[in-house]
Amino acid sequence: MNPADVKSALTFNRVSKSFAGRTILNAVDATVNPGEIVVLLGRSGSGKSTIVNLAAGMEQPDSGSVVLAGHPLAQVSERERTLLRRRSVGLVFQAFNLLPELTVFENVHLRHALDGRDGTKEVEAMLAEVGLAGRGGEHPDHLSGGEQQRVAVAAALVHQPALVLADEPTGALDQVTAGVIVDLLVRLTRGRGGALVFVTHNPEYVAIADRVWRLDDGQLSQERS
Amino acid sequence: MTILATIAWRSQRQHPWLAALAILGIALGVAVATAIALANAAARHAFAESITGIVGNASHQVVAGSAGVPEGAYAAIRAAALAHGGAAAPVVEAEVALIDRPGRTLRLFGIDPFAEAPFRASTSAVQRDRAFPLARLLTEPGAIVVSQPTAEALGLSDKIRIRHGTTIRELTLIATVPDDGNALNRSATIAVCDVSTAQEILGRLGVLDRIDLILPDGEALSAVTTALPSGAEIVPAARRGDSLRQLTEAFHTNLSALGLIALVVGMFLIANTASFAVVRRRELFSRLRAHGATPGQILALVLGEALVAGIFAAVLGVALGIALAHFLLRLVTRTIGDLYAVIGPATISIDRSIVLQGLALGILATLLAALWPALDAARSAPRLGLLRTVPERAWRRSLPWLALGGGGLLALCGAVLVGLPPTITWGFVGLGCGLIGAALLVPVLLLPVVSGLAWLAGILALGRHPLVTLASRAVGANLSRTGIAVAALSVACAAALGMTLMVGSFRLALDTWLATTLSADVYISAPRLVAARVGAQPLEPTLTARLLAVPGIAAVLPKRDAVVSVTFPDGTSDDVDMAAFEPLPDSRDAFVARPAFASPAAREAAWTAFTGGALFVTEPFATHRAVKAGDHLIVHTPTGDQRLTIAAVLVDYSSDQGAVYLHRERYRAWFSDDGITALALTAAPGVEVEDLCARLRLAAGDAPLSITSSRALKTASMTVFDRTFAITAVIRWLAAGVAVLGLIAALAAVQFERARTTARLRAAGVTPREVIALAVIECLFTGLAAGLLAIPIGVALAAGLTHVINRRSFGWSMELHTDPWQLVLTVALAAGAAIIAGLIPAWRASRRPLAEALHAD
Repeated sequence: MNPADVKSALTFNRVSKSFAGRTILNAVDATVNPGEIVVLLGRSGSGKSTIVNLAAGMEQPDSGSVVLAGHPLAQVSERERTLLRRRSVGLVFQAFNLLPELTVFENVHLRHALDGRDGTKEVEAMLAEVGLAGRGGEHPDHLSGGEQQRVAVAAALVHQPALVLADEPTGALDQVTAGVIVDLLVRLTRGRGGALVFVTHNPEYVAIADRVWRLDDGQLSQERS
Repeated sequence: MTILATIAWRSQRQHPWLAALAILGIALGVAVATAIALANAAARHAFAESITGIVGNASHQVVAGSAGVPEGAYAAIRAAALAHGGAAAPVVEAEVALIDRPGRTLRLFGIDPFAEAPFRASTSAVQRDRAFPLARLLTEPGAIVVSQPTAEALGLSDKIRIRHGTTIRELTLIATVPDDGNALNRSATIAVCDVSTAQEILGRLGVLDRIDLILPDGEALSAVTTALPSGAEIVPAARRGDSLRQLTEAFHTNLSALGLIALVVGMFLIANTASFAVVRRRELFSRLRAHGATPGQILALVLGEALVAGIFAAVLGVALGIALAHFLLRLVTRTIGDLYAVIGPATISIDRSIVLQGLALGILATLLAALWPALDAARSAPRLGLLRTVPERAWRRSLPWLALGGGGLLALCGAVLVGLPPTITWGFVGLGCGLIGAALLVPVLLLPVVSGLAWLAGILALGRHPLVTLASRAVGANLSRTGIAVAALSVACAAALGMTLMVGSFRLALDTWLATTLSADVYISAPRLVAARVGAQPLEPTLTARLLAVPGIAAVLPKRDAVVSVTFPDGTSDDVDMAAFEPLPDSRDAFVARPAFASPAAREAAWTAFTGGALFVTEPFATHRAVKAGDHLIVHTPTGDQRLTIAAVLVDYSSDQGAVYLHRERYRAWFSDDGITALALTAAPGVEVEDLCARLRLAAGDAPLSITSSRALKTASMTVFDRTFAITAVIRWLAAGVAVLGLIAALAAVQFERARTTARLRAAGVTPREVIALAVIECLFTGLAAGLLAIPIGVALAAGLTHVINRRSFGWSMELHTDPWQLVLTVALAAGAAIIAGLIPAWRASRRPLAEALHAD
């Protein structure tokens, strides 16, 4: 699905979620528009990762609804949610989330491969864009942390998702490398017309945002950057 | 190669030894099952060929038990058969021992060459071939013909010395016939001779063992029936083959079931390996799920891995099985030879259906074992992969279901054993349900048992040591990894313990029974070729007189073993073994009834009835023939049919075919037979038994008699017993070997994965030696738990094998004797295996450079 074809990349309608009796999200309403960059701020344990998991269809809300790229997630099957995540979402995590069994190329190519599509040209172009041209045959554990995260960024964006969810993507990196990764993430997401939800506890990244969400005590407050 | 196959291949390549151990484990399981199937098939084939060669095309046979059919009746029977378009041929046959080939035998097969053509193609060939010295066969004393393969296999020369009973004779091999592919030539070691030659050599002058008949219709049958002499009857020819086949069927079924135990243990091993592979790669599956892999794709990945492993394991297992079959065949044919009947040389042939069955068994068992772990992998949540506690939580959540499944299978076991027909197959199905049900309960019980062990360690003042605390908690914390391994080890140990206890109980029961029944001092008989009473030869009267004249004999108990024709309460008839004897006045205590006599008066009543002409039957006879004390049997005798009451069912472990006992006075009167096949002698006071034996041997001269003291006879009986169960020992050790392989794989994998924890501990100051100690303590807890849990399962299995399988297969009942030493040994074995399994990875972890180990974290 072309990111530009959807009215909103992500919508939360009065979404609530609790864990072990503790309310993490309380009737949250939020929308991410196509091409928009949202920075989600919050303390550790405030529920930032829960928002990512709900947005990617990896968890279901206790109440309310999540609409991803025009698809209400509660109304589709687990399989459809998976396929939606495969085709419409890109994920970047602090822990890189690469598969050590696969080469750099194969990691980036994974979603195409799962779909039975070729995508070789797109993968090679993407690797070139993240500065890893010619290194597709290497295994992730032979790369530095910054290089691994570049592979993760490439893997998250190669299929032109409507929504990129980046959960503390710079948490494991030094400041310089972190800056490179954030620039890369923003540039490539914007270049492909996708939306980005950038989860962090570092207020310095507000600078990249079109909009800022703050999560505190289960409540989400929004402000224009 | 698809991306999922790539992932599977590369992740397996990271731990090739783990995959190799799993493949080897299931391969061993397949090997044992395939080897037993091939060995059984080869033995059955040899057995069947022996029967087919002998029975030929006959539709019916005229038989008259051991007494035989009077030769004078043959002419009338043949005339009746020919008049109605049928045919008849006389047969006199017996197994004879080859003196110059110890342990080898020849079946002397006396026929009428002119009547043979419609019956047996191969024997009739002697008549068709113009160059064949037919005249010599008919006229020359001791002339025989054998097939070329038989002559070569036995290395026969022109002159062949044989022994039959106590008679030694020399035969002349006048010709060999080429192998024409006929069953008679191919397998059975048969020597064809003229019927009169056989009568003369076997001491059966004027008597035929049977008359083979081809009767085209009921009219012919009626005509022949009217020509029958007294005591003879017509039976369908197939019945004889069926009876012989049925003899060994329980034996084959038991072996097959034992083989399946190895496969079930192998399945646990695969389940354990697959489960571990899933747990170890939970993070991988979660990431794949997060990237959009569907549950179906994850399921396909894990099952695909299992399929490939299953194919490798099945091919390897079948190859190993073919090799193992050659070894097992020797044990199988030796046991059949010891207990049932002499069969020709058996060879393993690669039966395509058994090979395919082995391949399918290996692949399906692997897929079945991997199914649950695969479903578990498919359920991987996309976000939860990074949390270690989640698989453990999920595993613990599944414990109630395991308990329910295990309890359900145990209930099913009870229902099958109690509610369904008491056949061997249902017996094994019931025990199988019980074994798997108990295995499912092992992980449920593991935590309480380990907690108990930790508590015990605390009592012993070891609990305060941090390593002990850490080790006991690690077992519980790694339940998802260790649970199935412990279940596999428990099942294997329980199977080994169950079989050991059953064999031990059986041995003890046999030992006690021999001590009770061998009340005389010396036993004399013609050496038998098999345990069955078939073919027991009477001692020559002059020889008997010579023996009984030896000084130092206080009392004599003569016995006549024979085969008689009996009609059962359900109207069916069959030949059965009969032992006719005159018991000594004080020997009645040697007869133990089951159920036990209610009182001395009941024993006296049964004894009085026996003396008056009632029968005793053995337990196997009562079980197989479905008769009980108080029932009546019709015994066909030359002097007419006798309707006799069964006075009691006796405990008797001498044969699993069973026998009837009759007072010899009655036998002599009804069968007009004074023959004695065995003598039991009591030494006079002050006479040394061995001295008496020596004097008796001197009196016997050249007669090849078996003169044995009761002690030697008991030793010989126990030797045959041990030989009979040698094959079960081989199989149970193979099953235990499969389990130990599985345990090594599982515990080594757990220790390998704990490398991170180990690195942290070492960083905190734990020495390499303490790292190894920690692994040893953890494995010790696991092994002890597996061993302790194996005890109730093993004892229950032993009870099942003793009271259900033995009873249904062979008809024997016995008390279960639980040897405490075996229980201790089982726990020690499990603990030892567990420690050995955990040592190598712990040693490796302790030697790994700390910086590298921490980097891996």
